[in-house]
Amino acid sequence: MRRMGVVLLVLALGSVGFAQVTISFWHAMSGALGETLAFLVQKFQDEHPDIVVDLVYQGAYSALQQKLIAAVAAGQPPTLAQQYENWTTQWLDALVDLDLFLPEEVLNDVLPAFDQKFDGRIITVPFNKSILVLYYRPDLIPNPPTTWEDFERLTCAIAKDTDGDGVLNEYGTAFRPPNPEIFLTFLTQAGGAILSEDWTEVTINNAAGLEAAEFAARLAKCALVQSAYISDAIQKGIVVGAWIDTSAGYTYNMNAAKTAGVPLAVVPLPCYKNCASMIQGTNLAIFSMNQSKAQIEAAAKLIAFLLREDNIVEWAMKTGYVPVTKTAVESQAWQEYMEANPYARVMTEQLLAGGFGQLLHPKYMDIRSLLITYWELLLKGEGTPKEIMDALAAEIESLISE
Amino acid sequence: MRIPAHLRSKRFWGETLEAYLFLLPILLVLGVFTFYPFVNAFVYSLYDIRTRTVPGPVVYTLTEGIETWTAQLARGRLPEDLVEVLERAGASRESLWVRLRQTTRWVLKDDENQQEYIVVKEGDALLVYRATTQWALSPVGWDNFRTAFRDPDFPKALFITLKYVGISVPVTLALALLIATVLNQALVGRAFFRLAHFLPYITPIVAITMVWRWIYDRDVGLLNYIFSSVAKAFGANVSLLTWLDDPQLALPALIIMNVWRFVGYQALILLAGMQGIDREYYEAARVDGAGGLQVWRRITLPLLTPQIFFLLIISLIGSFKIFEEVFVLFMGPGPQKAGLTIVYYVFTKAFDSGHYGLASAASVILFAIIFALSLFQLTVVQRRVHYER
Repeated sequence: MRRMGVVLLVLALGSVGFAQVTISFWHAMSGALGETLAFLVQKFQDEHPDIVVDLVYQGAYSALQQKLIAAVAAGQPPTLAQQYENWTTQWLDALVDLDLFLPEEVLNDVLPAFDQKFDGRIITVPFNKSILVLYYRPDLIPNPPTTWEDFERLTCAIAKDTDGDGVLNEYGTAFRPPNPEIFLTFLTQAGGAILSEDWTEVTINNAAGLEAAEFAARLAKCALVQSAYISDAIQKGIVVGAWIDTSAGYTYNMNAAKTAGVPLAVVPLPCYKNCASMIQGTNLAIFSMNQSKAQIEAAAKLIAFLLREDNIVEWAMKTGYVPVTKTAVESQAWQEYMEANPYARVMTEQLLAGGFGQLLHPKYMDIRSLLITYWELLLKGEGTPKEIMDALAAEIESLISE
Repeated sequence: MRIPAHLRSKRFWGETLEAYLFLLPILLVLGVFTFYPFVNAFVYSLYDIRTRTVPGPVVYTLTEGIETWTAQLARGRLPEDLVEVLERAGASRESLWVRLRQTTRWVLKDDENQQEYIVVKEGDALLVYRATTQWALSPVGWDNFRTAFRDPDFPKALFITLKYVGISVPVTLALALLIATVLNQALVGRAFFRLAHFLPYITPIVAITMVWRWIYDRDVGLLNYIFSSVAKAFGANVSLLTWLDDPQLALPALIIMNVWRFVGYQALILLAGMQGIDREYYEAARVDGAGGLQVWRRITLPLLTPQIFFLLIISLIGSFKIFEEVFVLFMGPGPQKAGLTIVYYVFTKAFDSGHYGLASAASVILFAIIFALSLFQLTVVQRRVHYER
């Protein structure tokens, strides 16, 4: 009895002298990624003994998304969560303006490629981000393409129908219909956009859009078009000269090439009017529902910690994601890392050359679904590029005018 | 009024109570995970649902000097007058903070009282409301149903699902009948075949689909290997089929996989039915000189109708709800959406684009179709079922 009294007394004194704030952080980082995140969060807690972070792995992105939807509906979301832009647009009102809680120098340090405002508000910071780069077989293409013209010429020279059945067996490049981000990259490189800047007009089928579509359609004739990951085909020993894929797929692609016993290298994308390349991956945002100001402030401290130069560099080195701040990119540690890892240099150069993010329109997911449909038609040659782009534009038009 | 005798007996009420106590756990589970969501889907189908800060009663209206307030709110600060107004409304000064700023809309929170306030610029005035940020339902009547039918994907999903059900249900049943008939003969190793046929049914669906992804693979798949080997044996050169990337082949791929998956289970049920048929009928038929096929058509089949009827209802309902197979097999709705089924449509509308009302409306339509078909079966089809007496 007496021992219990002492324990209670110690607990009581401890809580008086040490007002702890507990925040929850939901994420979808599995395996080594999750371990790195847990390591950083532990380091944060060591530096801030007054903050307890309840780090919860919620499964894959789709599981995290569904749990967040349910938690927001129940009014019980976590303090902090990883989220894609199109999830964020579903619960804008439930999130906190980050610029009210993060020091200006932290926000200003984020690379301009990641600048994004939702209805004029800053509510996310980039976290685990990747970017499209070009993977190529140096044995087939010794000098990787730097322009659209080169890309088409070099890849189409490889495409072959070896058994004469009228269907290609060796491919110049490869595309996945579920991945319209590649089309958006071509579109942006041609100077086009899905919508006008004020979102009132659909511009995807203007001259630039058509140029991008025609380029993609020409490439598609030399390409492997399949819904499965390109690394699956490489692993099976299928010949693909060069293809565009996310930097996050680096390990998968390299392992596939190793299995097939072929060399594989990576370079920045070929450019056209600019060197744009689409960024993918999640951001961090803070929920205000069911959270006190003290919790919000603690979560903001954690974000600032994760965006600190040393932590960003460590995160990028251990996970393969791109570094998201200026100081991290310029840091001695990252510069040395790039010297030793050409792949890190490629994705950093690509990011600085023309990284761009998702359209933050509230109906982007519906638009993306249309993009997938028409991207597939374009790749499979079901109609002329002009017909396809006009039909796509008409559907987007009716969608946003609803 | 006289109360019937059995209702007056204590024993009757005791037993009834006992029965309900035994039912309670499953009723609770069904209630939470089936009936509650089921009813909610109906409700949600009539609403537009989104998370937003909803204004409640007005606390204060400011008509003059609104610029001083907006300038401070824009910097995330609280104007002293506003704090006083909110204090009078019951807020706690120390626990008030700004969490959201837009050009005409600001949201404040009072931690101590767990209350939000929203300041909205309306015309030349600033209105202060009590507010809550919530999963808000706004009634839209039948709009979600109209949207579903205007969306070209929904009729497409409806058509694909009907086609899938229309082919896979009868094909599975016919094959199952054939297998059951064969197994019903005195066969060496019957127990083994029974088990072998039942295995696909008890194997997790995702595992099955992953295996079929490999079977359907264009370059290293078993199916194409068999096809090309047979073709080569006959001296023909065929190009490999892209089962998972060809819109013409996607639905057949889905059907083949599911026929394989369910045929064993259905055959087993039919086999059990066949073995339950009284031997006397067969003996009588044989005495009358009936042949094998005649016996099967005139005796086995009619007396098997209760099992066939049961399988028809179960597989019809199950087939309409096909989803996981599409999700895993195509990692999407399939080539040119050739595998877009109704449940897949519901899934993408809810979880990809956040149209919960529309997704609910689509699921209500699916329910109506299944309900109508089941009703038709229970009234019209069941008349042709022979129950052995």
